[in-house]
Amino acid sequence: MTELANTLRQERERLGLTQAALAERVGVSRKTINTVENGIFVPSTILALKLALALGRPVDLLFQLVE
Amino acid sequence: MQNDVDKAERLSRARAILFYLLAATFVASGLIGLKATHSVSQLVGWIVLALLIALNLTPYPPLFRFNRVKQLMNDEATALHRQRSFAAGFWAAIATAVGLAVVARTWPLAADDVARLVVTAALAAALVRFATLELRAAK
Repeated sequence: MTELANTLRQERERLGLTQAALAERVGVSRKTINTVENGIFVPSTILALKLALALGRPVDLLFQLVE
Repeated sequence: MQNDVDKAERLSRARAILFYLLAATFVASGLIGLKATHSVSQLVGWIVLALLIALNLTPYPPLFRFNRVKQLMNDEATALHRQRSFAAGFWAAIATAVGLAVVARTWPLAADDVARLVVTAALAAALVRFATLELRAAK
């Protein structure tokens, strides 16, 4: 089964951002950032693109398909 | 000074705890009301309470369009939690209805008691599921 892995936590920590600070930048709640980082919640395309923009990374570097 | 994200987190946590209390109160009132004779005003009161609880489980987006904190409290992850809570409520209603169909063979129940139990199970399960998912996501 194909799953979605992400490097959100590493990229966020690289910029020295807290989950709340990233949530504020993207316009979602902290729990949404937390659940995305933990792989519990798969974000919409719009949110994935907003996260990539906020972190200054291409979206395919933040999210990868894993078999 | 709290920013909007902090406010939304605090209010979301309060909402989850309120939902647990609401579920417990609704179950208690549903069980206490069993086998009792209800006046029209009691029945209307119960229906209004059930509808208010059901409404609380929906996002009712037009009301939140211009309030940022409320938008944050009803973002993508919360929408998923609402969907999952609806599913939990659906299965609780099915399980309760099936259980009552079996029980009613030996212990006859009035139609309003059956309706009360099915609605109570559905709403309580949905409230508890939503509150649990919200609190777990915030950890």
